[in-house]
Amino acid sequence: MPEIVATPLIILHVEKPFSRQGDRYNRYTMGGLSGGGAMGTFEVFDHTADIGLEVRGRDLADLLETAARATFEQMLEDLPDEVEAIEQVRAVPMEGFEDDAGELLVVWLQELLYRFETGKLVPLTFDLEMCGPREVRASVGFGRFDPDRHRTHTEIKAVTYHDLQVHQEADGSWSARFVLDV
Amino acid sequence: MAGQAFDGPLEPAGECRYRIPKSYKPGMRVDGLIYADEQLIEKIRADNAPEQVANVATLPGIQKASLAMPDIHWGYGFPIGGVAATDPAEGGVVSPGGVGYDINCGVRMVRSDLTLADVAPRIEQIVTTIFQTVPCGVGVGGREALATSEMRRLLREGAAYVVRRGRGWDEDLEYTEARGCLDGADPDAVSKRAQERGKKQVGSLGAGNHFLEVQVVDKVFDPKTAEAFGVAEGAVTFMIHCGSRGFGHQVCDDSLKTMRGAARKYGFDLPDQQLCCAPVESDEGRRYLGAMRAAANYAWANRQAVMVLVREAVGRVFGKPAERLGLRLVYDVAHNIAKIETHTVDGRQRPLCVHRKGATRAFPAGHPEVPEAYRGVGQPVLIPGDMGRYSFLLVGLPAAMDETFGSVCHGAGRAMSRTQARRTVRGEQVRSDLAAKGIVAISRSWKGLAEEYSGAYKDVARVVDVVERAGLARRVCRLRPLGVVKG
Repeated sequence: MPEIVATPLIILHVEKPFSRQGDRYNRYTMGGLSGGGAMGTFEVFDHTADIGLEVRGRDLADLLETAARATFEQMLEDLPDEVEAIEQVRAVPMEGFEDDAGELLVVWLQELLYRFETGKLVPLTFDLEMCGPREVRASVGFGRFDPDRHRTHTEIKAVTYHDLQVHQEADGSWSARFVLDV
Repeated sequence: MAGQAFDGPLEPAGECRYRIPKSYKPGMRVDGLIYADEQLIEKIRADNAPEQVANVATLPGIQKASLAMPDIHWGYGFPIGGVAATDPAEGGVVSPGGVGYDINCGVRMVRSDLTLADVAPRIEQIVTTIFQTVPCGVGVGGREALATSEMRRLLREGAAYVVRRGRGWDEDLEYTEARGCLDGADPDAVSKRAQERGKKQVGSLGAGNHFLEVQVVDKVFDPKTAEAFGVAEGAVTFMIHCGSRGFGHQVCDDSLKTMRGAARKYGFDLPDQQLCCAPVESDEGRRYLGAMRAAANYAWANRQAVMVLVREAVGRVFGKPAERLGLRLVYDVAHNIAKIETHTVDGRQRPLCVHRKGATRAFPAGHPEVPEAYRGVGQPVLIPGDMGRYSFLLVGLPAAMDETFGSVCHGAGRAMSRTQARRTVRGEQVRSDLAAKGIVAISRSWKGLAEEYSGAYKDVARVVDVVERAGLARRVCRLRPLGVVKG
């Protein structure tokens, strides 16, 4: 059987050096309940087929904002340049799980992922006006994703309940651990 | 969770079979049975997926055994590569965790009259044209948005909806599992949110491990069956791997919420909350099955629409219509699904709810659900490997019907995590390594390409070897990639 020699081709629409993880959102952060933008940090942990995230925030609002940033950084290499619209986002845990901080985190991220998938909206700025335990209400500034301009990474199918942990530390800060199905 | 080694019993139970006796864990109603060889079983043990096999064995109404295929690895609740059948008449349950987030993720294989000599000089053009024609990648939907009324029809009719709109040929349905449509799909059981996510995504590939490949048949193991499937050594084929996109993900998300409540309501004592479930014969069970069938139909419509775009792209490259290039569907088969099927248990035929999560239906010769043209040999079973090595076409055998509710493996299974793969290799290196092997790869994402590199997967040849040695399916031919499109 003859061997094929072909010049491979990758079509990527924007050629920029990769950003350092965690840097990309910094210029977008603004005030809210966290008082001056997200201070939280996150790390990716190994998970055979999926992506695990460990997130820390100085309060619950900071945790939720950082978790959102971390999640979208797994999907997108580039972020939109500017905020196009500010929308109210409200997330409420399902009946029977009202005081479950893990459920609150899941529904919050689900709300944002839904807006991305149906409207190509990428959350860039966060102003969490009310935060838990039974509700998150936020003014979120969204930019619009353009597949021809923004480099991507991987699609997130869902925020899973596997090994889902959200809790407050003794010093009052918050941490979360969760797995994204990709 | 994944990462902790399984320290329970894995007793040899015949050729390529290991048993977890039901005495292992309180609440197990049946044994666990894992199909593997000596090498694979050690990797499986390290992943702790056998614990999940034992957990599934506790589900109400489970029949015969909690089964796992050689490509088993850790999943949410159920392991990936798991098969479980429950009897609704005995209070048997249905569990969204037994299907997965990507409902009716599956594989479609198209054959052609093209040979390697026809395709080799144009492979870059073919791959580029397919890439430009089939919407793919993160956040990229289909070419048109469906109106709500059209969406409801699609959910009820599946692949036939797409064919009726002039996208494809009537014979495509004959060569699709269940003719591309499960009866009982209930659009009213689907949330508005799922419908909104699905409207703009029909005819799109997605990202992650989904792919389109141009392949060549490089080895034939079973010439008679290969002839029945219309493939021969040196023939060029196309493989499509995708599912129900955001629609299916949302259906799963929605149902997990409902089922978490249902498990409490019915008093199920589950070893893992992600096994949440409800009796098939309950409001929650019926509602999930109605929504899941709608998602399964969505996936078949999606793969049908994607295939038509591939036909158009290849036709453009060769300046001929797809009919004249012989771009005919060999088969389309699901590997994430739950179906009510008739199986024989204890000598009695019964309708069972068969969960296949990362497992492929593999019905043998003579089964009425095998297309008439293949009924003398058995159902084609499509097992994708990785983009640097090969995939396989198998055929189902009677032992699968006797032992595994007509099911076999679904792929290679990951050998390393996505982050580990990215630490090991860069996307640019993957591209040039593939090029050195004569494989043209196009992707929207360097990182995505790195995560999917060949070394991140187990050798699928070993997986299909186990399936064949166990007598569940037989290799028909091996397919080597020539071109790869990733989202």
